[in-house]
Amino acid sequence: MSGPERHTPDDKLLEEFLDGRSPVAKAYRAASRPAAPPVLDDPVLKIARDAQGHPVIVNARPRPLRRWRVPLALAATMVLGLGIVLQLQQDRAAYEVVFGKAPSPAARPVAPPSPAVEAEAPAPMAAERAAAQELAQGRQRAAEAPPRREPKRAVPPPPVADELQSADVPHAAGASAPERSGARMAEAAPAEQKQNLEGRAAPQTFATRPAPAADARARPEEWFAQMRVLRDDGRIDEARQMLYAFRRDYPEHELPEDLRDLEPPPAPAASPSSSGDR
Amino acid sequence: MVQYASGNTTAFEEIYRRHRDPLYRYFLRGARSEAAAADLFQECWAAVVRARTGYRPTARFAAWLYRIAHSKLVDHVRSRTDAMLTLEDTAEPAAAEFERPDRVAEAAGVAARLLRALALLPLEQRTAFLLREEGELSLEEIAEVTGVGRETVKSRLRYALAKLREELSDVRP
Repeated sequence: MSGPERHTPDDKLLEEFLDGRSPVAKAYRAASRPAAPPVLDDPVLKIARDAQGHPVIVNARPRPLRRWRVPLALAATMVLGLGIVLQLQQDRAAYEVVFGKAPSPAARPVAPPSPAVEAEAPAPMAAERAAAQELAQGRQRAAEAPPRREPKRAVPPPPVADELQSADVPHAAGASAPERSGARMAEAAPAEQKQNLEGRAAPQTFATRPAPAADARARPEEWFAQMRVLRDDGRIDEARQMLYAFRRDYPEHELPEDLRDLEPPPAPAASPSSSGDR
Repeated sequence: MVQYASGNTTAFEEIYRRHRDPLYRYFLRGARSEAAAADLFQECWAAVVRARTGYRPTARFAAWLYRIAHSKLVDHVRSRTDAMLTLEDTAEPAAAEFERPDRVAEAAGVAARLLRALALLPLEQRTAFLLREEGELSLEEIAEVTGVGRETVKSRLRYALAKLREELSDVRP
């Protein structure tokens, strides 16, 4: 069975064709062999010549600028983004506008600025910082405080603790504490708070109370009237705080008899040694 | 081709002169139309120019050239509608090559009958025959150009040769 490989007639014809001995191949080569029309030569050769004038981009070496374009763009984007984030962290008001909630003081332990630092800070920066702080605190209070009915009587609400603290900050002479606080709040507060400042009854803050006097400083009688209102309302601590503020403007003024109970008891006398060192 | 890709235009003119006529006949007898052959001829050389940097001398230039040419020819034939293909397949080959006065005498001869029979072959068998005769490609190269196996190429060539020989049986036993 393992005899020589048998070829069919077609295989033989194929072998002859591949060898060039096939009568079919000979007949084909004997047939007319038209050449390409000469009119086709010029367009083809022109294409080839023109292509040499235009180097192929695939093999072109990348230009140095193109090579650095992506890393440079990434670096620039990172620097820009980092700068914006740092700026926003310093400006809490803008941070709130962008991110919705300022980082909590616990999350961002930043030491409160000392009075000395605040005094050295440029005025615009200090004003911006104060405005942002007031704004944040106002929003926080508004969010935390339950809605309460406004009292119909025009009794001034008690001063808030931070407002009293702000009264402790040294300030220019010539304006009373209520006026100064009100003026500062008017500068810092946004539009809706300014509306409160400009005339609605029963405001929530000390600054929104009508100032005891529009000119130089409040008269003692106006201070006393407000202290009496607070005392009669049972808000003794607030009345005492108001008395404390009053004493800053009028350290020597004599209190009416009915308000003397608000004054703190006299402090024990200091030891001679401690006072005599200076 | 490598020299042309590196900027030598004269090298292109040399390979163009060497392959222009066989390539033109490949298109003429594959597409069976002088107009289509002229268009395909120019498109093929333009493609060669565009792809010059992609050429690697791992294979013969002829095999690379006819791979492009075969792709152009097949796209051209397949771009026609079925109705046109049916009409053309049953019709006589293009008259241009056979009805010109200087070819009338040959039309009665063996060569003309062979060309007529060649034009009636299916595209796969016709291109296999032309790639061998015009491109002088080997079985392996034809298989690579047409994207089929070597045995498939042999089968196509066997069918083509059998039909062509049958056409010439009365003159060449």
